[in-house]
Amino acid sequence: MSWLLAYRPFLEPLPVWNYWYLLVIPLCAAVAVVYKSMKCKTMSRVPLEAAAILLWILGGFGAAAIALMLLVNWLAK
Amino acid sequence: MPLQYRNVMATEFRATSAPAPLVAVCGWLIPGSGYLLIGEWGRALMIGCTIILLFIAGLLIGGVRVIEVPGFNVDTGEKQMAQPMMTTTDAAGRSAITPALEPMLDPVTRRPMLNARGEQRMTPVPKRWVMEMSITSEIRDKPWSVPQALAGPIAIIGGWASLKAAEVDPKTIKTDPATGIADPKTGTQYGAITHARINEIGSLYLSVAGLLNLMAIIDCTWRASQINEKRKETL
Repeated sequence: MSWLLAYRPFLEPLPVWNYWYLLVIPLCAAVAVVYKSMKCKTMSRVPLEAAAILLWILGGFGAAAIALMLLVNWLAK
Repeated sequence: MPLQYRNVMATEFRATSAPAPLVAVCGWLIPGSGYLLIGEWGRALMIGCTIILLFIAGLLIGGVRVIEVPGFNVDTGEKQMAQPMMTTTDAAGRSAITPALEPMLDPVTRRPMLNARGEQRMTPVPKRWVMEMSITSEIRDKPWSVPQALAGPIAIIGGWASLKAAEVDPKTIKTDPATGIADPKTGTQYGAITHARINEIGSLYLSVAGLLNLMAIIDCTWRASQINEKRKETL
């Protein structure tokens, strides 16, 4: 945890070199929330629908990653 | 749960609304505030807070220096200067790109100076700020700055902070013990420059925040125009 103590917010990059792929989750969540806030007639529907679309986006990313991994492995043979 | 809707954008018509251009400008100045002007508090808070948090998250991930300000050097934060150039053609018809020239002026009389053959003496045009010379090519070199600027004044403040973070901390400047002269090149900058994936992800967060704000501006402006049209019809 010493690497986190040395972190100076805004002045240095966040030391998440090994977990960078997890940063896609808040990005997709923000896109889902803003998109559904525009689309939904009432704001009470936003949390549930944003969660649903977030899962769709992450699922799509996962599927694309698996498909590309299989393609690369197949091409490498 | 169905994810498809018949209407493109949900609209709840209200009795009054601010003019659409004012809604657009306010939406850029403070993300989400365009919705406030058309009376949609919940939407304004949700969209505004999300965009601002996304922008701040981008700065936390990549550091403030992830913002590349057009017209300023990425490494030093100083104004980017460039030599004006011109195309010349010699007697054989060969063209070449050389520094642009201007007549050399006498420092006292301010009149053009002449050489021994009575011709005007020429000197290279002084270096100029790249934003004055070619604003399009400078922005083309830093394309992320365009979507980031859509996030509003928060992006301008971030750009200013990025330039400030590129300054050298005077406490870190070392003095040569032999001469006693302090060399600014030995000092370290306040903020570290980011590289590789973290830089890309930070830039992406900031750019997505700007693009989401653009989407919000278009949406709230459209809603405002619809409300105003509906009001005109009822009058």
